Amino acid sequence: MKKRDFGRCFLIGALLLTSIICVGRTATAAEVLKIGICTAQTGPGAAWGLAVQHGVEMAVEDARHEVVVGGKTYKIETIAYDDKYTGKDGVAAVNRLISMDKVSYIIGSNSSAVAMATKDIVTSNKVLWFPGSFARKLLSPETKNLFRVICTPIEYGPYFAAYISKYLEKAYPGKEKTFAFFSPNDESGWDSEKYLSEALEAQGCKIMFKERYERGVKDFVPLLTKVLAANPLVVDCDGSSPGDAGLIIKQARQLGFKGQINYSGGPGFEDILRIAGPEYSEGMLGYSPQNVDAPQYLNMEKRHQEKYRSPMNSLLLNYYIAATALLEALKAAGTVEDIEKVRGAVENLKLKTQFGGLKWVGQKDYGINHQILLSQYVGTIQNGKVKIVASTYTAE
Amino acid sequence: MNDSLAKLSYGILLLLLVLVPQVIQDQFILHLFITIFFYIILSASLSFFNRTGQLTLAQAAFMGIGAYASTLLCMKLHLPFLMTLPLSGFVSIVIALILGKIVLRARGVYFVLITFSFTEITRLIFVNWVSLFGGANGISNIPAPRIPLLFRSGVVTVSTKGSYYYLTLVVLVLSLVVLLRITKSPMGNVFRILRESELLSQSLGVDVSKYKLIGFTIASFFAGIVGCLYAHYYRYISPHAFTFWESVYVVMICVIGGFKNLKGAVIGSAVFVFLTEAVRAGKEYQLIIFGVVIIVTVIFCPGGLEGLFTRVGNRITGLRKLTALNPES
Amino acid sequence: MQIIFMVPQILINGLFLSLLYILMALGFNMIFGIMGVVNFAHGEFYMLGAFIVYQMVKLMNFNYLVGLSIAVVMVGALGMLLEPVIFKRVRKIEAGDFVVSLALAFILQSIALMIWGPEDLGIPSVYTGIMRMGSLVIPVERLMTIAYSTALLIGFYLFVKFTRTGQSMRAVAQDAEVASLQGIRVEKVYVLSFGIGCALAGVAGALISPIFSIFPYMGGFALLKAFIVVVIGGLGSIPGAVLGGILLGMGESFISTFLGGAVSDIMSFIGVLILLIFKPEGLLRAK
Repeated sequence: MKKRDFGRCFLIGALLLTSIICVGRTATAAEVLKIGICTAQTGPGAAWGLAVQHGVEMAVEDARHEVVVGGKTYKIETIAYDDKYTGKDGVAAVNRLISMDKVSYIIGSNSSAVAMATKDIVTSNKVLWFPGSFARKLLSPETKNLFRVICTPIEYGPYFAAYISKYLEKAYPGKEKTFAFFSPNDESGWDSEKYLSEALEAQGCKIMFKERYERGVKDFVPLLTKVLAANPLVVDCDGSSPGDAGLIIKQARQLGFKGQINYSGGPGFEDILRIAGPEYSEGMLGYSPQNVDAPQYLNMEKRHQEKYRSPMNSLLLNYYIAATALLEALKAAGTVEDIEKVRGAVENLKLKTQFGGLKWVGQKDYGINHQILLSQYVGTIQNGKVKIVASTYTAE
Repeated sequence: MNDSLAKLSYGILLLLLVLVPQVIQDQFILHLFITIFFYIILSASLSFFNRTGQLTLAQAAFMGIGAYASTLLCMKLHLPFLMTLPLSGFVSIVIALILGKIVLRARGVYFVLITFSFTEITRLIFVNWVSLFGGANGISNIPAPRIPLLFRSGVVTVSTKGSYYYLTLVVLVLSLVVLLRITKSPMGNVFRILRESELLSQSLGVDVSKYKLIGFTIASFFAGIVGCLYAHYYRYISPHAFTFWESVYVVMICVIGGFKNLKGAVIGSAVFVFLTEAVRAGKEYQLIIFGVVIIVTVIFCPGGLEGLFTRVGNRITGLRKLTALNPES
Repeated sequence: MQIIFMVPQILINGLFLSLLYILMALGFNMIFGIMGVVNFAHGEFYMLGAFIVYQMVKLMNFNYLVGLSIAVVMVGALGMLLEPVIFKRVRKIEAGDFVVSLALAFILQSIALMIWGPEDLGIPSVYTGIMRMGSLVIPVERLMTIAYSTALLIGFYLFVKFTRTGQSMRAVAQDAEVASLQGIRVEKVYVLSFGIGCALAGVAGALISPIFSIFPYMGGFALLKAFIVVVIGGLGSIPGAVLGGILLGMGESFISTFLGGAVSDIMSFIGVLILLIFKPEGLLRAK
């Protein structure tokens, strides 16, 4: 009896100890720049969450893991914690980054639930924060240390809508520009639906259907049956995830839909090609914040596949650019400790990476110019290949 | 003799807990303690209900109900925290009574699945009733509790982690005291018999369904209280926080800690939170380690870890007794 | 007016969903009916079935049906391995099966994440082509899935009803003690049942893999649907699982088409709750 108990105690203690050691931190040297990453490493949000982490890691890799600021060379250390896409875990992750690891720069999370839950903590500490959540309430004049690093539907909607409207007038002359939207029933889905439909309506389009589905649904045929009976001109996958957009496209085509299919919710051509197949995805039009045609993008994809053995999520580039921007701002500010100075440097940043430039906007919509605006493109799939057909905005 | 020793050790533990925020300034560690306190209340009340032989997956739903109730009462009706806290519990009681009356007829796994359905429905209501609950975006900018001071005039705003630690600790101690009192009362005796055998209790004339309802209501009350505390701590709530997975974690805590007594809830909560944090940086590996530890713990400590701790503790105090009795060693 | 023409399409859509849900729920139901075990990792066996087919077909160029058979066998074998190693040991522990299967789910999800990554993956359609009958449209791959699932269900029913093993399983489900007195090796039945239950989940995943997308967390959806089907139809009852699946699948098809996706979700749960008020043990409780 006694031996068994001690054996059990030992076993459990050993397992606990191992788990700590596995993920423990080694003592850090003096001249180290720590960049914190709060993101979903597991769970259904992992596809985007890992894009955040990998984007930062690849940028750090390109900087050769070091940055020279104010004459001193700092080794860059990235510390990433899993927020599981929930507010509760996000709060734990961010608290740990700020209190225990003492980071002053946090990139991520991508999740609105995490961003809204951690907003107060991050903004009340001396931390520069670069989240990628769509939540409208995130930016305000009070959150001076926050920079949103992805373009929300408010930013890209008008450009995309303008292009689509003109395209429809040319490709389907005389036909009424009617749309059927498919959005997931959560905050990013609602936001995307709201701003995209507003932008399209401003161009004279009519949104006939705004279908909402619970995330996890893979069979869109019942919804499509209803929608296609009314013969809309365009089916738009709106804020759906790229994989789900692929399914919507495939199922719509299988049901015999011959009209235009758009994906206005964000990048994801590769996923659509993978899931819907070349035949069904032919001719679809989608918003893309990157030039996915360009050789540098294709190189990144190859590099990601080799390094992480999994296809690259296009969201990754936003965070690659964000991390690069941070490093450049640090160099320009000449300090890693003075957050105010670095913030100023970020605001005045004139950056041009191999993926284009960036601009800070947002005074009109949020009251503060901390919203990123990147170059915008419209892409399509032709003969089983992703192609950029237009550049709707170029950030200088 | 043993009893007063136990009381002494609990007293010391309480004293240590009270001292923690004075000694540890690290916000993250304080956050962990507060999280553990939340889970202890949730799992202790679940464990109490378990004495009736049932398990509920509705703890998360009542947490949500309590959270939204307190938030709405506070932000729309401007009621003070000291009123919204018991009110969240009260709202939970009312809903639990209605629900329990209907569904407690079901047995075993059916009941579990019914409570699971209830949790999902509650979540869907929170998501889709946008005007009242804010929908998927939830409600943000929930104010911190403002508590009037006892001996002086003025109000303390519980907005720092240290102060919230004390608030939660007070609620925790009160909750555990209440649960202990119930356990030791005549009603508690009935629960103990129920755990042994439902058939036996019925033959003794016990109205089993009444006690199941009481147990269920008590568990839901405390879940509602935790929901209120949760809302004013995170100051942002959304339906994501109240999925049935949260309920499942509470069950997990009871299993690894032990259903037998409150110690199990305490140990289970501490181990669960500690383990989650220990593996948080592990990317894909973290849940593998987490899962393996859980499985090993359940297989090798069937009654829960509290049994292990008690035995080890006994051996240590037993050794001391032995040396005291034997003057030669 | 148009609505009446939509009804046959809605019925076919519903039939596909129903069979899918029945397959997802059958294994879960079986494991509970025979062993009293709630398997939280049920969805993960479904997921593994899909991934193994993906690995075989996409990456190793096997024929789809061969890949499917291998997937089913592998998933069933995994189930038969895990039962004595893990589940048997927690049989006597309160909610032990719950917690242990949940931990197992985490482990399997993470392994899938490690091997195949988080992105949505897909297999090219095995059966291309679309069948049209008047205004009715059915992609051939869905028709084939309906056919395979039906064949599988019939085969499973015959197995349970007429084979010695099937009869032992039913005997154990009724009363394990009595069954062992009759000379049935209860432990062996448990292992086999668990394996078959997992294999059924794997088959569902494998059948669905060319039609929907594949990713490490796809299991949660299957688990959720299995729960609902089982609650409606009654735990441990195979006809109950069939009835539950049909009600859920048809219900979703009709409500989604007429009232939209968000309404459909909440209505299925409210329907479940109402049903439970009147029949807490499901429609066709076994025994």
